[in-house]
Amino acid sequence: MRRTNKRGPDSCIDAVGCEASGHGSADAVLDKVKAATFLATDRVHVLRQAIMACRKAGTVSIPGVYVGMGDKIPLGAAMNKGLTIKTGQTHVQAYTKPLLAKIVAGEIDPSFVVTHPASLEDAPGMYQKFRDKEAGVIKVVMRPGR
Amino acid sequence: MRALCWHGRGDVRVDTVPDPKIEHPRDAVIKITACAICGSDLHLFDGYQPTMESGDILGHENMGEVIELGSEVTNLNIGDRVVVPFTISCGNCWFCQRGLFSCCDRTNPNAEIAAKAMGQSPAGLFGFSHMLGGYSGGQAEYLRVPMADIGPIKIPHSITDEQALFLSDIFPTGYMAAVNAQIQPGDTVAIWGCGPSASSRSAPLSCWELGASLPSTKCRSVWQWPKPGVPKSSISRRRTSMRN
Repeated sequence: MRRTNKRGPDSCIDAVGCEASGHGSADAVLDKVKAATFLATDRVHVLRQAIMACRKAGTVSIPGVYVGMGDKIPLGAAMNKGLTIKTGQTHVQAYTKPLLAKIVAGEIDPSFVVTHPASLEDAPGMYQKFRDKEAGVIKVVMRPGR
Repeated sequence: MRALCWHGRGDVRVDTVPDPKIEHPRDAVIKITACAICGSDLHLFDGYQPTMESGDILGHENMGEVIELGSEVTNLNIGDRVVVPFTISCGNCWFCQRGLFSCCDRTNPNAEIAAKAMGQSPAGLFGFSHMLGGYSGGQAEYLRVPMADIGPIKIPHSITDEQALFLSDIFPTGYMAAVNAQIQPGDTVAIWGCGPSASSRSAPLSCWELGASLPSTKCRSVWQWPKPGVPKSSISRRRTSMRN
């Protein structure tokens, strides 16, 4: 807030999606209970924060994946603050050519995200480690056909 | 072939399953040379996504070598090295014609189920439930690629698999997130999910990339993003006060 003259960020990006942990905050605990009892499917803690934090007339971009129903999304805040909410599964085919050109030109090297090369047979264990945020697992890459 | 199959919440196993084959003239079959586990695969692993069935093959970040082609795929050759977008799109419908490929009207054979849940059906996706097409994913030795004349992009040998693979999802996803954020020069951008959630890793990179063409844009996040040729000290990496 200090950095934005107390206006709030111009744009907020929710890159977490439906499994926000919320670190034990009251709304996140309620989300977990609701998901466990089938009263809701998605845990929308991050989306709530993004809407509440975003400056008036700002933009909330949601690349994080949501799958079903979320509860207590502050639509009143979004409406009254005049937010723009943009989201969607990626239109991948629209971006592959220009982004490949950036990689080939050496402008960007996305391989920096790879933390764990693994075999396909290792995959079940890697899913578990990735889910439980163990051993620094961020990106597992497997090479089954080589 | 060997493939990573979903069997229930928290239960994935590597099984031996039938090899994929050409089922339509616009199909290709590729030998998977690299594939990745996406943060959204964890939603499947944790049982959040409806309409998963036991035995479904996971994986939507895929690349490989073309080993078989349908008769209508004329832009690829056997042996081509390709990255496959996770969205399956026909290229011809109202949405595809407007570049809205993930909204393709024709690639979800289970569109009725998706429409009941969402009003209309989005595009089919690799390895992402029956509601979204029931297509087998690529965490496997081989993958059938529908609409292979539209999706796969040929990769030059000057770059490695690890450099190219993320064109399948997380690099364009982070980039589109930054485009959707409608960043203007001088803007401050807050990003949630710069931890282990993989698709978020390219969002700061992409914000900054957009910023590179808008010299006064400043993007800040908890993640440190590298860029060739730029001294790290010139990039601000201070934490936002509203980080998750």
